Amino acid sequence: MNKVVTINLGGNAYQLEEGAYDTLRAYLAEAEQKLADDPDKEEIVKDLEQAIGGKCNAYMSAYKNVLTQSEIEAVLAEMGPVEAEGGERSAANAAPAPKRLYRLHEGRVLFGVCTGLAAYFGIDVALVRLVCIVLTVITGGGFVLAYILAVIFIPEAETGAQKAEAFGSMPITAQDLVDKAKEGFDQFKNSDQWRTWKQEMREQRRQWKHEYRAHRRMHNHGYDWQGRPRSFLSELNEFVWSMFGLVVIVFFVWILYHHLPLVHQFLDSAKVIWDNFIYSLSKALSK
Amino acid sequence: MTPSTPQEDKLAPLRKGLLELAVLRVISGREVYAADILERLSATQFKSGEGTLYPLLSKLRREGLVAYEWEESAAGPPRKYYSLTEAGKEALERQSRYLKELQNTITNLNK
Repeated sequence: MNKVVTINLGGNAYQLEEGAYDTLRAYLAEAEQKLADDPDKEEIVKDLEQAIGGKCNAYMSAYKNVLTQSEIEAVLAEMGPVEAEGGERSAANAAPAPKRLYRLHEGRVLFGVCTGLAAYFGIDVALVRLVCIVLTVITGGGFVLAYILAVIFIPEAETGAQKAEAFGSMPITAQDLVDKAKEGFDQFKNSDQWRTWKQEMREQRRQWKHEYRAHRRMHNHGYDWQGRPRSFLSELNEFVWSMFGLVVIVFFVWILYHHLPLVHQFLDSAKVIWDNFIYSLSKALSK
Repeated sequence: MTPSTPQEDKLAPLRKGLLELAVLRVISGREVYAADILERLSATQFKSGEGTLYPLLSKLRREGLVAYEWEESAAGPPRKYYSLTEAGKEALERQSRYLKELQNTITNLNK
């Protein structure tokens, strides 16, 4: 059983298995990259997409409407690799590989600044992130401002060619990037560290659940959380402590709100969304 | 389609260099769709895919050698119907003549 992706080729919808979609996207990304110097790039790519759509039709019938990976591979083999006209020149240009700082979408956590920096310097993203976090702590949040500036001023790599520039190495297809990210994730998932952590979390959860149930039982039988008989004082005590916890959380969020612009923005936008939700709800109810 | 022996590899650039001439020749016969060109070439040494042909056609159009019209088709979206321009006919003529000259030269080089 495979996930299916629906795409638009020349104005018609096609359904592809996920692997087939990745293959096709890599082909088109490579085409765009090869045609980067071609003034008619958009038109050619559009025509190519339409031709691919036409060839895909041959694999469809009333009883089959999803294309598999091997079918897409056959279609693309028929299409042949995209060859740029005057390709010699652009190939020569690509040799020294221009290197540019871009934000990278693949493997990003926030806005892809760290992934872009890692690609630019050819180092591990984890290292870049660590440095960023350390800087944020040292500067008391001031570094976040630098991050936001970076988001504003560093463009995001959108085409295959730009992604290749971000790495500065030989052309990289979108597929390579996806594979790389997947590989990293798989490695992480299979690492001992992750497994032990998961194990410990499960253990911890079980323990918490157990304790909670024990407390509930005690509570229901008229004892407070420390096992003493329930009284007005113990109830008050519990109430005060829970209020204290609430105040601490609110205070913490308040501090973050005023010192981290990112949190500020997030909460403000959350408020706007909430207001809109309430507004539309009230409108729907008043109808 | 893509021969891989070293001897064959030497022929690939020759074919590549002559593909433009071959395409011009196909279009010179009659007005054609891109699919017609591919089909005509498919049985020859110049067999190519859309990946090669489309960028080439777009370059030829920019150079003013071919032109296209949109043609409604009964099944599917409108398609491009290609024809040679005057400049295209001249280019075809010139290139064909030059190819013959080259052929002659090479044939006679051992004399």
